[in-house]
Amino acid sequence: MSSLRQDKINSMPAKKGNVKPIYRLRWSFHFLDGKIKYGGWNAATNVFKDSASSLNKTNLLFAVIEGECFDGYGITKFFVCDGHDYISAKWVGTCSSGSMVGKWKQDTITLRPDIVGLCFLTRKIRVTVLINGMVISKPHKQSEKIENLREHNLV
Amino acid sequence: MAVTLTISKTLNGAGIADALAGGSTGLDLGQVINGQYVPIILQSANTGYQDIYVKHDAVIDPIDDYSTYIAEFTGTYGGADSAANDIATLIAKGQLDDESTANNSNGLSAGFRVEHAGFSIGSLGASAFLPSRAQVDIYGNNGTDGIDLASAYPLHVDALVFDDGGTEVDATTPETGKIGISGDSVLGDNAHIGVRFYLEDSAPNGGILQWDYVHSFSFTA
Repeated sequence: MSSLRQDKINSMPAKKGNVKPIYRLRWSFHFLDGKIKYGGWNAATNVFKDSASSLNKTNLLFAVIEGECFDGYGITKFFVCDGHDYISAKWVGTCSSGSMVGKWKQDTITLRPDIVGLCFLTRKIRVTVLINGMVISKPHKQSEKIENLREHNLV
Repeated sequence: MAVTLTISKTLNGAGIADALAGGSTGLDLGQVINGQYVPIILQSANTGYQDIYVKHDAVIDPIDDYSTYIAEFTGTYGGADSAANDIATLIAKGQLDDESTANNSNGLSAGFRVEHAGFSIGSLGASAFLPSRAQVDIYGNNGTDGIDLASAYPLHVDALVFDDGGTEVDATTPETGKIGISGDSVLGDNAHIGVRFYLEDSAPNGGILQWDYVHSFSFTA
């Protein structure tokens, strides 16, 4: 990210939830037999069989969060997780309900989120990569430790 | 799996988006008077606030890490200044708030405040929106809190409710930041929060202020 000139960063797509997109993200799973499964770029699929959670992770060698720079700087492997440590993947999305002080009505807003990040839950930590290239690592909450054991059973 | 978030002012509410100044749609809080807050019914009784309900259409897993923050308005701006200045103003107001009253009785409350008490907001009386409570957050507090993804305010467990056939009841075992799938009475299948905008006594005429109220969350990939 630091190699990008500021004018190039400024010319990239508008902020999503106050996060400036510099990369688009995807997951990839690399298996012992050499096969690789890729997810779509910033693609939260509606089709279960195309989702990360639907893939059988038997013989998973490693899982990767990859980012492709919008400016053509190639693909960056932001986080590589050993297969035995990988638990599940989650997209991070934001929805903005624009707010105003002015007048008053009743309504419902239905929003499809903007993808702003992709995270992997591993056995010990949760690693989130944002579309601006920031990587955030934090330990699991207690509830996630319980949930993790469930999530692998989606296959 | 793709997830859609539904944000409404009533449980299972349906309708159209508010028309905001400038032409965008979103949440419209109304007009506020110096030394008061909005929405307001009776200041001395600390009544009046905007209910916000949040649910989603994920079918397998709950969404988690749900949190909220304010950001620069990204719609077509129709306020009195500029989107960049408006968010700076809003953050400054959050920092300015003296955090001592729920109903701005001393005229020193300012900015955008959230109450996570959910189902119980209406029965809290004088303590609703009182900043000293753990369920209450002020966006822009300290100039740093609730203003981006990293400083977003997590959804408090008290905000989680279950839509029991159109009747709102408390979730039985809610977890911070997690909203269950439809029909989940344990985690709760709706988040119910209340918001208010406070204006300090000393505020100059400002006209329309616009910002993005951002809801962030994680969902199964």
